[in-house]
Amino acid sequence: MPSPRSSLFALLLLILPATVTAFDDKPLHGFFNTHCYECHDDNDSKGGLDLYNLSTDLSDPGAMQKWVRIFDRVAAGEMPPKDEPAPDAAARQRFSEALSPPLTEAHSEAKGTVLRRLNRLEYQNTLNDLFGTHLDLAGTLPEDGRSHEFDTVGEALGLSMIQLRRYLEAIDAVLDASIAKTVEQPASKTIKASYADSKDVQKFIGTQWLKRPDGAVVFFQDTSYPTGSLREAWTDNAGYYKIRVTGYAYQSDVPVTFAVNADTFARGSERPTLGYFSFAPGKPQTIELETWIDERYMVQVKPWGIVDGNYDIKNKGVVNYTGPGLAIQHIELEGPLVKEFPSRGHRLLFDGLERKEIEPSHPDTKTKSWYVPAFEIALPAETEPKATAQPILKRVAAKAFRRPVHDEEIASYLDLFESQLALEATFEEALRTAVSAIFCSPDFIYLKETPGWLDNHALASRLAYFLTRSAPDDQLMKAMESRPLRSDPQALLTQADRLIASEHFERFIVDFTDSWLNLREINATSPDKILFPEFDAYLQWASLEESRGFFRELIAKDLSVTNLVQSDFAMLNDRLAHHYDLEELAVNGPALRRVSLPVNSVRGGFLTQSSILKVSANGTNTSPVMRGVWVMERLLGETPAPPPAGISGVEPDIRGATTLREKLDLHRDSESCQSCHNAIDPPGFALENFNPIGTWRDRFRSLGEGDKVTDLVHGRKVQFKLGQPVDATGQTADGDRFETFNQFRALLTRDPDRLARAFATKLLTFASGREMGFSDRPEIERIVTESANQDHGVRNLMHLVIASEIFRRK
Amino acid sequence: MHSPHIASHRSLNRRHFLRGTGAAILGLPFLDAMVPAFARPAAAAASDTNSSPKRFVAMCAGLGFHTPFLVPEKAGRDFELTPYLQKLSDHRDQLTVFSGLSHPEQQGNNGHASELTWLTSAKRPGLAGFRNTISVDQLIAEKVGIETRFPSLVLGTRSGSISWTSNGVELPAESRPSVLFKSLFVDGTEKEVEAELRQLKRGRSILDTVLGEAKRMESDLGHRDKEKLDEYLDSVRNLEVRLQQSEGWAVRPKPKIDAELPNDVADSNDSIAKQRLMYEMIALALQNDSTRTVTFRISGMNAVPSNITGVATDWHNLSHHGKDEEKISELQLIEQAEFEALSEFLSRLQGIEENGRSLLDHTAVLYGSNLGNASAHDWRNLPLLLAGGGYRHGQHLAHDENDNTHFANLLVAQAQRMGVEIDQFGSSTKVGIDGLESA
Repeated sequence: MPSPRSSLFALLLLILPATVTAFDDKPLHGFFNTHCYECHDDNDSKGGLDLYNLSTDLSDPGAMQKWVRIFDRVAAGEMPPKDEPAPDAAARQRFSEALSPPLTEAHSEAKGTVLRRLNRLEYQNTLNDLFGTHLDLAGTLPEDGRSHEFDTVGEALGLSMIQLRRYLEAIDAVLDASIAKTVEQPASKTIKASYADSKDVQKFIGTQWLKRPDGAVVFFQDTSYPTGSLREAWTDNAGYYKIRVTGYAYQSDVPVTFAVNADTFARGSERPTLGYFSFAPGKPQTIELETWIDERYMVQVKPWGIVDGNYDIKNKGVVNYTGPGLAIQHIELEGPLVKEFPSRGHRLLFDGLERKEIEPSHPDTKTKSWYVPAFEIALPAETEPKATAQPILKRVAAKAFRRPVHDEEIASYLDLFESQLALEATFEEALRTAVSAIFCSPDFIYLKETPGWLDNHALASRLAYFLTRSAPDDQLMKAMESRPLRSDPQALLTQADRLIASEHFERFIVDFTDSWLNLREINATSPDKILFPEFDAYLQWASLEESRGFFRELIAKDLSVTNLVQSDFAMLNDRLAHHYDLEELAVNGPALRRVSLPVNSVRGGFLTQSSILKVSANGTNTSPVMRGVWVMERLLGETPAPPPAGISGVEPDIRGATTLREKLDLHRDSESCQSCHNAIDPPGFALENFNPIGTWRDRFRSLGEGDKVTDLVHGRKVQFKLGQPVDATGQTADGDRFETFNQFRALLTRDPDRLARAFATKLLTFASGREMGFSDRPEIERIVTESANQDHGVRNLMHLVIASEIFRRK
Repeated sequence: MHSPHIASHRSLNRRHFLRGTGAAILGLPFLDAMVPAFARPAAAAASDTNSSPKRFVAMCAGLGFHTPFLVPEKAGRDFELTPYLQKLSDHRDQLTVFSGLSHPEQQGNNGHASELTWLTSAKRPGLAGFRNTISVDQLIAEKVGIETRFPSLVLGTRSGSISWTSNGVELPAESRPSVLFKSLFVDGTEKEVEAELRQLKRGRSILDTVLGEAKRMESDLGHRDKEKLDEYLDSVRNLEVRLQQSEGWAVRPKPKIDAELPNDVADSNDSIAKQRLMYEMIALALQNDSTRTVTFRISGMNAVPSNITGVATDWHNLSHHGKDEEKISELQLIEQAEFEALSEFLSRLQGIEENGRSLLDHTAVLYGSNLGNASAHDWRNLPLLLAGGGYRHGQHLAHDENDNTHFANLLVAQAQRMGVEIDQFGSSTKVGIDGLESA
C-alpha cells in the first residue's frame, strides 16, 4: 500500500513539466533493420542489447550509456561484427549524423557538476590546513561514494544524518585541538636512548645481537623476535616528532638498508612504517626524519636484506659471524614539536581579542603538576559582545566559504552566538558554537557553482581542490580578487604552476593515482605466502613510491603520455631493482631515483610496475580479463560493458592442471561474448608474463601439479612448484598480432592520441567532479590535438585541461 | 484470531508529542504514558504472546561461504546436515535454509559490489547511473524505530555497513562493542547527563541555523543541485528529530542489566571473537528492547584470522581458493567457527524467555552473504538462512539454481512481518517465499 506521502509526490510529478526527453529514433530504424535487428531484437538480444525495447529516454543514464555505446561501436566499425555484411562508409556516417545530435543535446542538458560535497579527504585537508591541526577526520567519516574510480564526483557523494552528526563532532575536535590550552608554548623534549643500555633487550645481546666496544649494537638477519623496538624511545603524547638514528654498516662493503617503524604494545594496532634508510660502512652516520606519531608508540629499527641462510649465527655464535650487519649506536626522539603557537586556528578565532588566563584563587595552584589553566575573553568596558563577534565570524566565514561574505550572510550565525550567550554560555563557548555552525553549513560542506562559466572564487576552489586537495590559499584568493582569472587562462596557469610547485601537490599525486590507477587498493590483498614468498612490507612500500614517483617525474619533466605505457627509465631503489631482476644496474639504498633501463627491458611505464600488477590481481592468481579491464578503463579510457545478466564468471583454478586462459577460451567461444572480449582480453594476455606481485614468469606457479624448484628466497627454499607455461600472445581488437609483452606495448604507443584522450578525460573528471560525456567530446578532441603539437607532454596536458572550457564551466 | 498489534495505540507518539511542546518538554516530569509500551524488561510485561514486539536482525558476511559445505543436497524437511549445518544442528527446527535465491542484475563495478545491495536489491551496483535505495532495515526502522531508544542499530566488524538511507547513502557501522554498550546501558552521572543535554540542545541550535542557510542557498540552485541539497536538508531534519528524541531519552534511565562493560577485542585480526562479542551486544539490545532492528556486516580480512587452529593463510586469499583443496579446508575452519558463533547467538536468543516464548521466536534472524561463490565473485545462488521469528522452520527451500528466485521476495515479507505496509520492495515480484509459513 503506498503511503499518502508518496502518492502526493507522484501527483506532484504529474503536475510538474515533463522532464522526460525521449528522442525520435525512427531515422535509425533503416540501419537497424539492415544490420542489427537480426541479433539484437527482443528474441535474441545478444550481448544484452534488445533494440526493440531499448528506451529512447536519454535522461535515463542506463539508456544513455547504451545509446552512446551503440554510437561508438558503429562508428568504430566494431558493429556489425566482421562476419556480417558491413555497411558502407556513407551509411555509417549517416547513422552517426542521425544519432549524434540527440545524444549531444541530451548530454548538454544533463551535464554540469552537481553540487559537490567535499569528500572526506578534502574535508580533512581543508580543516587541518585552516586550523593548523593534524587530525584524522577522514577516518571518522563514512566512506565516500564513487563514480567509476573517482571519489570526487558530485553526483556520487551523498550525505546522511549520521555524517552530519560526525561533522558536528569533527569541528569540535578541530577547535579543541587548535585552541591553546597553555599560556606558554609547550616545550618539546629530546630522548636519547640506545639498545646497549635498554634493559629489555640485554638477553639478546651476545646471542642474536652483537655489542661493539663503541657502544653500538649490531642487528643481523631480521627474525621477528627480538622485534628491534626500543622501549625507551617512547611517545607519551601524539604529535610531530623528529627521529634521529645513528649507526653504520658492519662487516659490509655496501650500504645496509633498514626500516624505521613505529611499534606499540597494543595488539592489533597499526604499526606504521616511517621510512627506509641505509647506512654506509665506516664512520657512524645519522639519519633524521620528521613524522607524526600517535601516543604510546616506540621507535623500531629493522634491517632488510641480510640473509644468514646457513644459520651461522646459531651454529658458530654471533661473535664469530662474518656476515654483514646493521650497527646502531643510539636513537634520539625529539618532540612533540610545536610548529606554531598559538595555532592558525586559534589566531583565526581570537586575533584582536584579549584571551586571558583566569587566575586561580590560590596563586600556588599554578605550580601544581595537575594545574590546567582556564581562559576567558576580556572585553573592554562598554563593548557589545555581538559587535566584537561580528568581524570574527565574518573572517571565519570567508575562509570557510572560500569567498568574501556579506554582512547579511553571517546574520544567522551572529544570532546563534547571541542565543548561546543568552543561555549563559561564555563568549568563547558562544563563539565556538557559531563557528561550528559555519563549518557544518552547506556553504562550507559543498562546492557551489553557478551554471555557465564559473565565477572567480568557484574557479579558485576548483583549481585548489584539484591540485592541492584543499581550499584556495591566501595567494590564490588574492590573485582571484585582483584579476578575473576566468577570462585570463594564462593567469590561471601561473597559479596552477605555483600550486604544482607547492608541498601540498603531493596530495594530488597520491589521491589522483589512488583513484585513477586504483592504488588505493594496494593493501586489499596479501599475496599468498607460499606462492609468492618474495613479497614483504618493504616491497609494498617501494611499489607505491615507485608509481607515485614515476608520475611525479612525468609531470616534473613534462614527458610524453606514451611514457604511461613505455619509458626508457624507471624509478628504482635496491628493493625494486632486486625484484625486477635488474641488479646489474647496481641501485643501492632505499631512496628511489631515476634509472635508465636496458634496451628491451619489460619495465618502464605503469603497466609493469609491481603496484599495478598487484592491484590488478587478487593475491593468488591473475585473470587476463581483470587485467584487460584495468588497462582498458584506466589507460585507454574505455569502460567495457559488464557481462550481460545471466553470465557467470570463470572460476579460477590454481591446482596447476589448466590455466585460466584455457578455461576462458572455452567459456567465451560464443560470438556474443567475443565481441567484447576481443577488446578486453588482449592487454590481459600480454600481461600474463607477470605474476600477482609483478615478477616475471615463464610458467605459472602452482600449489598442486608441477615441477619442483630449488630457488631460495630470503635464504629459504621455496615451496611452490612450476606448472603450466605462460601464453602471452594475442591479437588486439584492431587485428594486430603480438607475441610478447613488448610487442603489445609498442602497439599501444603507436596511438599516443588515444592515451592522451584517456588521460585528459581522467584529469577532467577528477578536477571537475563530474563524468565526461558525449557533448564534451569536441572540447576533449581539441585538447588532444593541441597536446599533440607539444608531443603530448603530461604537464602540458594538465595545463590544457586547466585552461579548457570544461574546467572553467560548471 | 489474534488481536492486532496494539503497541502504537497504547503509547503516545513521542515525535508528535515533542513537536507539539518543543523544548518545554525538558522541564516536565516524564509522563508514564510516554514510555513505549514495551520498553520495559520483558519479564515485567503481561504474559500475552501478542504483546511482545517483533524484531528483525540481518547479518551479511562479505567474503561469502563455501556453499557446498552449507547447502544440503536434499530439499524439504528431510535435508541432510552439511558441515556448516552440523554446527547449527541444535537449531535445525528453528531455521530454514534457502538455495537458489539472489537479486537480479548484480553485475557491478567490482566483484564485491553486490554487498552494497544485499538489503536493498538495487540493480547494477556501482555502474553508471547507479543510485542505491533504502535498505529494508531502515524501512522497518522508519516504521517501528520511534518505539525504542535506538530506531535501529547499524553494526559491523569494521566501519562499513549494509544499511542505506532513503537517499541511497550508506550508514556507517558501529564496530566497538564497548561504545555500543555504553550508549545502550550505561547512564552518565548527573553532570554528564546535563552536559549531554547541553550538547544536544547546542547541536539543535546549530542545525536550526544551518537549515536556514540551506534554504537560502536552495533558492538560487538549479534542479539537479536542489536534488543534491535535499540530501542535506533531509539529513538536518532527521538529525534534529533524532537529537530531540535523544534529549527525551537522555533524561530517562537506561535499562539496568546484569552485564559488565565489555572490553573491545584488542586483536583486530580476531574476527571470531569480534563476532561473538557483537552477538552478545545484539542479544542484550534486543532483550532490553533498546532497538527492534539490527544489521551486522561481517567483513572478511586481508589477514590471517587469529585463534583458529589450523588457519595460517590470509582470509581474503583463501576465499579466492581457486579450487585448491588445502585452501578450501583452511577456509572451512574459518567458516565453521563463524557458524559456531552464530549457533551460540541463536542459543542465547532461544534461552531468553519473553511472554511465554523465546526471544528467538520474536526475532527473525537473516544470515548469509552477497556472494554465492566468492572465488569467482558470483552473486547468484546466495547462501541464506532465516532463523527464528515464529516461522515453521526445519526445512531447506530449494529454488532453481539456473533461474534464481528474487531474494527481495523474502525481504518484503520480513518488512511486512515487522508491520511495514508494503507489498513490494526493490526487485521483489511477490510477497514471501513459498513454503515459508508462520507457525
